Amino acid sequence: MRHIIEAYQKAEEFNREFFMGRWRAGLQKEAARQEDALMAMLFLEALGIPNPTSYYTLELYPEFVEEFHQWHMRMGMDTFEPGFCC
Amino acid sequence: MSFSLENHHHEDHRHDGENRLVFFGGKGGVGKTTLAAAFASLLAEKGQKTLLVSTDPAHSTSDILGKKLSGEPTEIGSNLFAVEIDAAADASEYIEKIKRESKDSVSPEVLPTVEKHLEMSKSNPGTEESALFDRFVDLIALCPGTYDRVVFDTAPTGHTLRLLTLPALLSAWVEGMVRQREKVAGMERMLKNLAGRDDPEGDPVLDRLRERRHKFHHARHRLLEDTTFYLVLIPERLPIEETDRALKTLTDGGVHIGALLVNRVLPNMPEGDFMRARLEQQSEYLEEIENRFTNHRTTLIEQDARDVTSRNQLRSIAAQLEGANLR
Repeated sequence: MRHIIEAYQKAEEFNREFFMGRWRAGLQKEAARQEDALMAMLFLEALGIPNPTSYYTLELYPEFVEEFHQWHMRMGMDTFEPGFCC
Repeated sequence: MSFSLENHHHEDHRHDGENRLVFFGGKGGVGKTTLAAAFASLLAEKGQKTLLVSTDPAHSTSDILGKKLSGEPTEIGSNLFAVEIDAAADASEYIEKIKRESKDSVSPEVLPTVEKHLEMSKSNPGTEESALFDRFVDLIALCPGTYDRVVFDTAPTGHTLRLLTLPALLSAWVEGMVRQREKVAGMERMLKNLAGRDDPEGDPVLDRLRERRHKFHHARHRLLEDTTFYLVLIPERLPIEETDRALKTLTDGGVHIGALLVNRVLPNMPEGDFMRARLEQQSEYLEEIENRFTNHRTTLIEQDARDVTSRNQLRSIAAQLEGANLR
């Protein structure tokens, strides 16, 4: 009986690691993608695209600037709009 | 220019009572400031606590009330307050506040760049308009509550129409951002739950975006449901044409038009008396102009008995300019 329970627990753990892990990785990737989209919406002006809300989202800029720096590096730009973050 | 404050056209207005927000708009120089100030005084005299707001960056409300106004409401008399929106000062204050907040939330490596960027934002092309609109929205929210009525003395037509279109435009933008942030936050929460972590703290970004959304929605709603717009004109060709265009845009946008106020109508009194009094006042002012602007040459251009609407009249004015040796 104990063997059966242990085997079941092992199987379940494997199942969780294998399927949930893949699902989590997918979710993580999607979350990063959506975060990128949000970043673009908030700071379009810094990308050179006029945005009527840029004044109002400016108050979020300190909250995002570190992430923004990471973001443009991830987007393959080593420097960005001199003065925005680096 | 066309805009709509609402998505679908709604049936005729049910404005039977008085609306709390009152706008005076029209072409430059037709007397918006004078009529807005007079109307605000009237409301105050009737016992309604009234705020007169000048949104025109070239303020002249101070001049007409004979009292120096500022970017904060000043008491003018019993029940009467007035403010001249100072968009540059408002923007500067807002950005300085963000700078102070940055000191706590931003790492020392990026801080100098952040401060420089914020400083530069003060002179961005859209900054003053945005700051003006921000204050506009805040003042709307003070009524009812602090004030019973708010009277807006607006800048010439184009500027005002823009002010009225902004709530709908900005609502849509911020709505998109709120949704996007909610999506991201939802995913992050799911990931944290998977990792067995709990996430008790709120989301300051989402809070701020929602607050913005609320303000823009509120302004949009009030401009549709609690606003009366008075179009000021004078009986002349160009103001008539502009009024016609503005009327169309405003009614298309769902703004309730109170009346057309035709200003500077010549009174029905013996012509000789009227002309004599006008000429007397004119010579006083001409003298004042000579005395006050002594470092500059002045040139007088005589008014045509008829409105200037033809090329011939323009030529006759041009001749006067030529005589004055303008280059």
